[in-house]
Amino acid sequence: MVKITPLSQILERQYRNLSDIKTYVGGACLGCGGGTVVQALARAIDRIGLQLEDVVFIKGIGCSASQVHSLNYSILRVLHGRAPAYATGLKLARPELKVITLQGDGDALAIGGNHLIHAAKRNIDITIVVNNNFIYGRTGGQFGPTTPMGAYATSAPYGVIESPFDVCKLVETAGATFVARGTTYHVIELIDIMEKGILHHGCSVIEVISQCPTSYGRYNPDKMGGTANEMLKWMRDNAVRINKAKDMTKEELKEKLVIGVFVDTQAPEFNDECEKIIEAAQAGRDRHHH
Amino acid sequence: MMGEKQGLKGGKRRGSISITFNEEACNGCGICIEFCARGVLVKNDVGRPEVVRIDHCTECRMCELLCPEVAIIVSRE
Amino acid sequence: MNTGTNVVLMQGNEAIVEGAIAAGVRFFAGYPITPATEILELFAQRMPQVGGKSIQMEDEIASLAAVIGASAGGVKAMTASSGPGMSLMVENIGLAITLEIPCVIVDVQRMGPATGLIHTSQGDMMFAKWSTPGGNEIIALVPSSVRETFELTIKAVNLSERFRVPVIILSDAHLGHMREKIRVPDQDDIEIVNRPGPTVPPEEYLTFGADEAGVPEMAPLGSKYRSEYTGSLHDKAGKYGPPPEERSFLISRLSQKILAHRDEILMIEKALLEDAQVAVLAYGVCARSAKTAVKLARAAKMKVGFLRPITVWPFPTDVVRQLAEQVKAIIVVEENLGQLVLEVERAAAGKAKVSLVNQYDGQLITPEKILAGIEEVY
Repeated sequence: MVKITPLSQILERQYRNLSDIKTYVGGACLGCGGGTVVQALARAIDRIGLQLEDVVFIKGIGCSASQVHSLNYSILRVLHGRAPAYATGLKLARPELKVITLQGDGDALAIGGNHLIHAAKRNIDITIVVNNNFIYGRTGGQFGPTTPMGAYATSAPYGVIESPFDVCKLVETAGATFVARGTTYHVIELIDIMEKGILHHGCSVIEVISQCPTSYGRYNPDKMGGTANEMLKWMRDNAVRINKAKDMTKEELKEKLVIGVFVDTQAPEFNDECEKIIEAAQAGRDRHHH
Repeated sequence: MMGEKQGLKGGKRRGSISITFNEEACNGCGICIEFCARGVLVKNDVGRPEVVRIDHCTECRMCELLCPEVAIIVSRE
Repeated sequence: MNTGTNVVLMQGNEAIVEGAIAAGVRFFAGYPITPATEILELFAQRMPQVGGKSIQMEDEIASLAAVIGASAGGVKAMTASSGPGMSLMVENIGLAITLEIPCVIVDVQRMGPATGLIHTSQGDMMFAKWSTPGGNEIIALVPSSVRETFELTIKAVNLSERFRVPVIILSDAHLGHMREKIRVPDQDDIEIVNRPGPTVPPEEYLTFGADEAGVPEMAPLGSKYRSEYTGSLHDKAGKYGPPPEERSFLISRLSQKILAHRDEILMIEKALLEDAQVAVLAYGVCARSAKTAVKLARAAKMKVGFLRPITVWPFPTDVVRQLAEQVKAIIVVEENLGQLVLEVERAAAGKAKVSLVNQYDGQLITPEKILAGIEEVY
């Protein structure tokens, strides 16, 4: 059996004082998956052994795991959708840092879509965590870029009429070199994915399927279930790991949730390339003088 | 801390595993109760988890991992 | 390019780049836009030569975001654009204000509205102050020569560090593209100001721990100091959601930290005002035409003086008020529909007649036109 560090130790090493956990907007909704995402991140950081001075979280707007404010690390909570852009500047200024963005699905893929694909395109060494709960939770349940066709939302009272993004395929095509999907049910694997993603040298994008019972589940019980428990069970019962999914047909995979590490490759990393340019410039080489 | 106040009833196995709750953090979502594979926890009459079969706990820590509020602690003496 | 006591023929946009590098800027992020593109291109060439990084981002929103990220990490950073790009940057300008991130934003103005023209304009003067929701104080400087562009860029970087604010440099298409000779000073003669570093131990550090008119100490992200930054209203610890009785404090301090130290920020040029009956107030690219007009007026025995705001935000209200008490008329010259004239009217408070000589067709305003305006009110 996998050895899991006792939560008491994680709380001691990774979390700020416990009353701060309810610090953000008075606490999360019952059963919110965001807290699980943050615990998995905390456990991954604990395993790697990173310290306060090594890590910076860049958080988007919304229910993108607001529980991150409970951790011991510095947080830059920025404009909706733009986290990868700040992360890019910070990483170039301080290449030694582990820069981790924490964004929701709407944040990362609607308003922030362009920054997401460009971060992937540059293969900049940051880790982008997309807390995908299929809805805009914080603002009360509007549909988002990952909400399935036909689902109901406050801004789609007749059902969503657009097809959703496949986050992982999108960023893979854009150039991300570590792409993985986890869930808030498969936490043990999620910790592993996060550890790998953070350590990966290149752009890591980790999509976490996460339950939002309040704004998504409640109005779409036929999709993933209506309550937190039902939604977690749905993840448990419908997830197929990538090594098995590879051998399944499209028909068999319909309505299934493929999870695991999809991409883990190496490619020129943006900061490394910037450093090479400095070398070339200081040696007098440019487009006119090779 | 033993969560007696909000009806959170922890449990202790003689000489080894104990389960305690952060009563301020627990909001009664019920995930720990549902996903304990060994039926260690039940929901009491105020909707909070209560330890009823501490002897069955195997320290798998699924409850810890799944708790969105990091409110349940499984510890070994 | 050599520094030292060299005299160099330099383009206005180039002066931005060289001034920034001299002031210690080592990160630039930008996007191509006429008439600011040379800044992006020159930084791309020059920044790596001095060991810094210059990148082209996917848009102007990302550019200012990257600048904020880099500066929060401890590296002096700049971006440059023009009206259409500034429009995209507005939300991030507000973020830089509330997170108190030192940075410099260069606006090489062109004619609006929208895509407008790519030619000379002073159309973003009010925008520079009022673009962000909340209307907080900002520092904005307006050069009127290539040499001044170089010097004010250094000053802008220093002011941004001193006050932990975004500072806007308002150049324009004409000034950005013209070439003049400038004597580039020795690096040793250039004053460098750095953001106040933390003097307290980490346990006592508050991300925004300053009093009513103060500038908080700034630890870089990724250090033994934990910083909590949020674009939402925050308390001294950076925590979201201060109670009602504490909310005004931050909003007020963000303005007061600038206004209470105006003497460090205010720069103006005055000439021939001692006996003036009429004053011409001009700034930026119009300044030379205005000065020539004043000389022509004097040659025609008119007692005309000249005032040039170099700092336009915070606006030199007291200076203009004093001037209004002294002269009978102030003629404001600008290449827009009339923007700083509104501030002049406000500051003059009826003590002098305020008139406007303006032009907004993408061409430089001429001394003759300004002289005609002087003759009208004299």
